[in-house]
Amino acid sequence: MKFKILLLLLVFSKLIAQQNNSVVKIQYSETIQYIPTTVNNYTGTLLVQNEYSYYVSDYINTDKATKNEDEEDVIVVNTPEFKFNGEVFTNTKTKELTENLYENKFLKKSFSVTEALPKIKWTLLKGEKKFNNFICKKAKATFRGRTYNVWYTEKIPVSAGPWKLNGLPGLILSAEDTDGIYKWEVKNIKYPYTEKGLNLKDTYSKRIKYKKVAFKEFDEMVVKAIKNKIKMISARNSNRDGIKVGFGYNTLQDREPTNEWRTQTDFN
Amino acid sequence: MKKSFFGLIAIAFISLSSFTTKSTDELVLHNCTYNMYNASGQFLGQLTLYDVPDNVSCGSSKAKQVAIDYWNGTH
Repeated sequence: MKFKILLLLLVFSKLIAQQNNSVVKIQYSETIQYIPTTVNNYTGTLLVQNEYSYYVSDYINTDKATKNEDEEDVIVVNTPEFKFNGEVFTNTKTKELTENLYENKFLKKSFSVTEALPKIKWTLLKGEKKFNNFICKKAKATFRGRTYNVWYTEKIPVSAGPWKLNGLPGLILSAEDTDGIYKWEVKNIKYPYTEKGLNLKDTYSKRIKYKKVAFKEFDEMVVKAIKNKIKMISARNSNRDGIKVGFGYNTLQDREPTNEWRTQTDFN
Repeated sequence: MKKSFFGLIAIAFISLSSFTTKSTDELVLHNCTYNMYNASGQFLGQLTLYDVPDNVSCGSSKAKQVAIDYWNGTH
């Protein structure tokens, strides 16, 4: 009898342990369409295990409808190709988020950008839609200068989503910003997901290999680099043709056009 | 009455022609602003060429090459 009870307890504790170790794997079709004629396609993969989540975005290809460089006011310049679209780690216990990214425009370096897990103020909206047989509810939020419409399912009670999108009472299966630049839509879901030896805590500690910098500090570095470039270009004025040159930049196309510390979007 | 009417037209004609006439050695300049993108369509910034001669149009390969040279020189 004692043995049976012990066996039952063992099975029960194993079940609880498995539940705690519940894992979700979701793949998204991710697109970034900076301009109407060019669509950049990625596969986004989100893994959630206990308090850890890991999102990675892998480049597939770029679809071009027409050559926009024929337009009078457009110049397409050759820049080194960057296929790394970044990865995001979150820890809901410590409320930390780390984004590994490559800043390809001004700093041209990789960074591990750390911040407190962003609290996104979602508005829950009416409406239901099915994605991969999961009934989803609608929500909307503005986060760092960009407004997102998302669909989430309460059937998977995981407060996560692609990139930094989090904080809803269910997993986000589809998201799109209102400018139509950034878009994610579920391709497939594995829930519960089992993978031998998967340990997101380990993945997290192994992947941090870039210069670690706080989000605010990183943003300040980028702004400084933009201002330096404006100065540098105007200092090179009056070339052999007697033509003067000016440079300006705006952050409107960026993933985070503004943030908690900066509202300025135009730099001239 | 007729005389004063024609006088007014004449003044208007003279003043208008004074705006449009320019001496042949006067150099007319203009500005060209370009939106710079990479192959992914990502916006890299806006480059403006000031004081471009009027006979060089903004869409011409000559003007665009000057812009590209500047861009490459600062990157």
